[in-house]
Amino acid sequence: MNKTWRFEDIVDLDYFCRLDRLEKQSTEMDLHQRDRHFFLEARKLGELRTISHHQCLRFWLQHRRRFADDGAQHHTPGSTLDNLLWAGSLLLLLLGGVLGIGAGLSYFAYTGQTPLNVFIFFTIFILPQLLFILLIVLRPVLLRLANNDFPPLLRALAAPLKKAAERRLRATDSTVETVGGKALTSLFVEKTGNLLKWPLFKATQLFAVAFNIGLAAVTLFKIATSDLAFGWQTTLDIGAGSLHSLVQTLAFPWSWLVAESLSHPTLQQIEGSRIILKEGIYHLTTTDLTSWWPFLLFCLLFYGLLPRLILLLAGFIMYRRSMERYLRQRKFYAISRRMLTPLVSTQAEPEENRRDNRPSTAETPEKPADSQPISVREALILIPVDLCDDNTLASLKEYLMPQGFRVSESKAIFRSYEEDRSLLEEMTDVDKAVVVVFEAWMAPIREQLSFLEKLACRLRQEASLGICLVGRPGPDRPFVSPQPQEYLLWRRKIDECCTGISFLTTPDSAGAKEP
Amino acid sequence: MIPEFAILGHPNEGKSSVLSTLTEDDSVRISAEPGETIKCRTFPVIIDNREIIRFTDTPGFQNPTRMLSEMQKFSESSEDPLQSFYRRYHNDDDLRHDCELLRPLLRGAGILYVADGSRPLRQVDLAEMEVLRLTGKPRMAILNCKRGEEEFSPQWKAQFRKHFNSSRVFNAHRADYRQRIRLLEALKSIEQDWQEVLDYVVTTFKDDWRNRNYRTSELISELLTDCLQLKMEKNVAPETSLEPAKKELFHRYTAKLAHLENLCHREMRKIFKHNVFDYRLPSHSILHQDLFADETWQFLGLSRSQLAITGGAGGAALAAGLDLAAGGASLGLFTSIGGALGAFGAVYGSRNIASKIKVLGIGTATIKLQIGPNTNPQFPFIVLDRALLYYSHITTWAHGRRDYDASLSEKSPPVLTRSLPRTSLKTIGHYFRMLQKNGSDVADAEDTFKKLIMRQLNVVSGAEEYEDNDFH
Repeated sequence: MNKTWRFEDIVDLDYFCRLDRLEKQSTEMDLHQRDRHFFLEARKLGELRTISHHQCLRFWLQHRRRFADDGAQHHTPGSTLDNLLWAGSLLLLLLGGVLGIGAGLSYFAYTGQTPLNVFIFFTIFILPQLLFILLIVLRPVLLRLANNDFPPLLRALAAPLKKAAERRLRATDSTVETVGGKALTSLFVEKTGNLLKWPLFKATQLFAVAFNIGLAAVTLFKIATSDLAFGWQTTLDIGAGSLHSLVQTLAFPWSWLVAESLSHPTLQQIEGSRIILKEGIYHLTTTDLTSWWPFLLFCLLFYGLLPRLILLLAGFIMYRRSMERYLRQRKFYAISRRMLTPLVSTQAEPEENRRDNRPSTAETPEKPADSQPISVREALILIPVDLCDDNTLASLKEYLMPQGFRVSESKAIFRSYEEDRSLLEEMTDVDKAVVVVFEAWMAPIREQLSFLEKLACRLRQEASLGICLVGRPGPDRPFVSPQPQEYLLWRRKIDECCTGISFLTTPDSAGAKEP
Repeated sequence: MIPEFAILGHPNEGKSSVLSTLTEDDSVRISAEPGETIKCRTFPVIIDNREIIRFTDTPGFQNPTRMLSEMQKFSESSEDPLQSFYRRYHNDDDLRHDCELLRPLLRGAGILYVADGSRPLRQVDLAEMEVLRLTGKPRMAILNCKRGEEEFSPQWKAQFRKHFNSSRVFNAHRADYRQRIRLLEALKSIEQDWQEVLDYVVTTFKDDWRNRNYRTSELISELLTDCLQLKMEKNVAPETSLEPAKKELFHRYTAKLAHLENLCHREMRKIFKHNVFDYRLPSHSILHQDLFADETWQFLGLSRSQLAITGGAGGAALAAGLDLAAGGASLGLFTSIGGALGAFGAVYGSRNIASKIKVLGIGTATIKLQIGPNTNPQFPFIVLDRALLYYSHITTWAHGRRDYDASLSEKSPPVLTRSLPRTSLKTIGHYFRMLQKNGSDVADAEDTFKKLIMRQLNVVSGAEEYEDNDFH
């Protein structure tokens, strides 16, 4: 799985991403589920041992292609463009080779009349290439090409490629055509489309490499199979010494590689190969006239072929770099993220069996009846064990007296189930008023209501039962009135299980309304 | 067997709230009315389509002292109190809720006992704790201080130490991501056999949170791109007055920005699972203010010196200088579109507005007006601050919380961009300038920006730092 990305893969990756966004019904959750499934499957099959962004993308693409294929064998935009690019590159390669051979053959058409002018060879085959390379190097193209728009030459190559790709996609189904077309357009137009420059750049370098190889091959062939003579001529006042210095400088790159006699012509050989038309060539010696060919061949190799090979390599490197950058787009990171993040759900099962249709506790509590006692009665107060302290009892007694209850006895309740049961047994003999205290700020529970229910059943008819609801105690107020909603809730709950129970006002009785 | 945790407790102690917050499920109905839950409700934790653990909400205890009495009897006669109690009373109408709450324990569930630490301890609570102790199940107590007061916590904790393997304070109304993770981590201490599976759950929850933060950073980045590159044009007939057209264009522009911001906020809400209940911002939040309101520009964004660090202030100062050099003529032409525009000047005085309306060209048939893209260096920092503030609000809003009207303190210093170090501000400033220039090489800057925002989101939510590109 550590292969480099093919251009086809990159285009298809973008294509499938677009396809996901096109399918409106696919929510982020759907995509997450699908992509996570890909990942889990890969892990199960042992196909994904190491986890990296690229590995995930590659695996995702493989699955997406498999899903998309469904036996129809459609051309994806990637394969379409890749095929065209491959064919175009091959064409340029052949064209370069043919042009190199053709140019070589026409230059080396030596008739024996005049030696081949090395200046012409240099001007036609070396100098333009050097200038072109210089242009590439001087312009910070290699670094900035990825950020800029297409250079004109590459644009000229890209336009027919795009047209051809679109024509081929048109032959497939409509989605492939629409989305694929967009994916292709992004390569040509969008900021991320720099990626296409490098395959095109490589194709142009292939052309140049083929051209130089063709030319070098013809040069060698001609040298080997025919009698060539090279000379130089000029109208300007340039001496052999100046030319020798120039030649020496030009030969510097390969001078360490070969003997000096092969690296460049000597001063004598340069002097001996100067063509002066009025003197003819018959006085020139053959060794001087043939001394130029190794130099010219080396020029072709070092100033023509080698830079092209370097640029071709640079094209590969830049393509890799721009591909890395291309894959750093957020849409691609989203894929890895979806694959690598577990699907988590903590949603509850559907709710059922909730109590409904209850009267709201938010309703205004009715004002407790003002109990104006006709006469004071003795009362037994049943008080939760948690409130059984002297302070609270004293407060309660004080509070109940104006209500007509003189507390003569108090008993703790809710200490234990057994104690409550025994207490209930005793209640049958009670003939005084019974006041039960509840902490209304606590939720009413079945146990308390059941106790009250049983108590009401056991009490004699003449014994009245009253409820005293108390609110949440404060640090300095052990006995306060309940909140309205607490009061209402308790009242409703008690009414549901017992009848004929009077609710006693609390010290802040108005507090039931306005606590 | 799938580890299960039953949430038990007295009615109205916030069991459902705890569960709602812990599982980030805001569909749980939480009512002030006690005894709403009458049947057990399961919250399965499903990871990659596999149930890993489950939480079960139960009805509150209805007869704790009776249960205790009965179970003690079973215990004294060497019977399993839990099994025997259920077997004997599961058809008893009085005890049906109590039997229902014991059902998960019969399946082997661990106990999470929830109590309200802001109220005093009562006899019934002690009975409940003793009942749970008699079941012999792994158990932990959670102190959920409903009113935020912790005055009774020591009483509770003292009892918890007697009855439970461990205890934790967990406020269902305030707990954030960090506290949820801590609670899950704490569950490991109650039963050794569940440690491995809980480790997996915690790791997955952390991954999930990181994924959410990543998506949020993407959303913020998209919002900034959209806001900074937004431009609108309008053609006006030469004979008509330009002022109404400018006002209308400005109105459309600000409405579009507000729409983009709302979309981003909505997506953020979805990511953080605030689905059912309409999350509302605290009433005093600066986010209630319009994007271009005076208050927004006073309290959010960077100071002048910080803006200078980002490298964006030079242009702004220059723009202000040019306006001054124009002797007000340019203002008359471009900026006199009502009071709303005046608000833009909060940072650089009334002359430096958030986005100017330009007259692009006066043709024979129409005059073309254009607003945006916004080049004010402060503007993206304001948008970013608002997004971070919103993130802070929704991640600290517990799912079990329903008191929307209660005030919530607005976190400000650690969230906003002005608290970031100089290097981070430079990075953000660079990214904003790339966006404002509509630069082609924005991918690298965006990448760095998102990592920085991710870090900031992790800081805000208390999530752990991760290495860049380290997915697992």
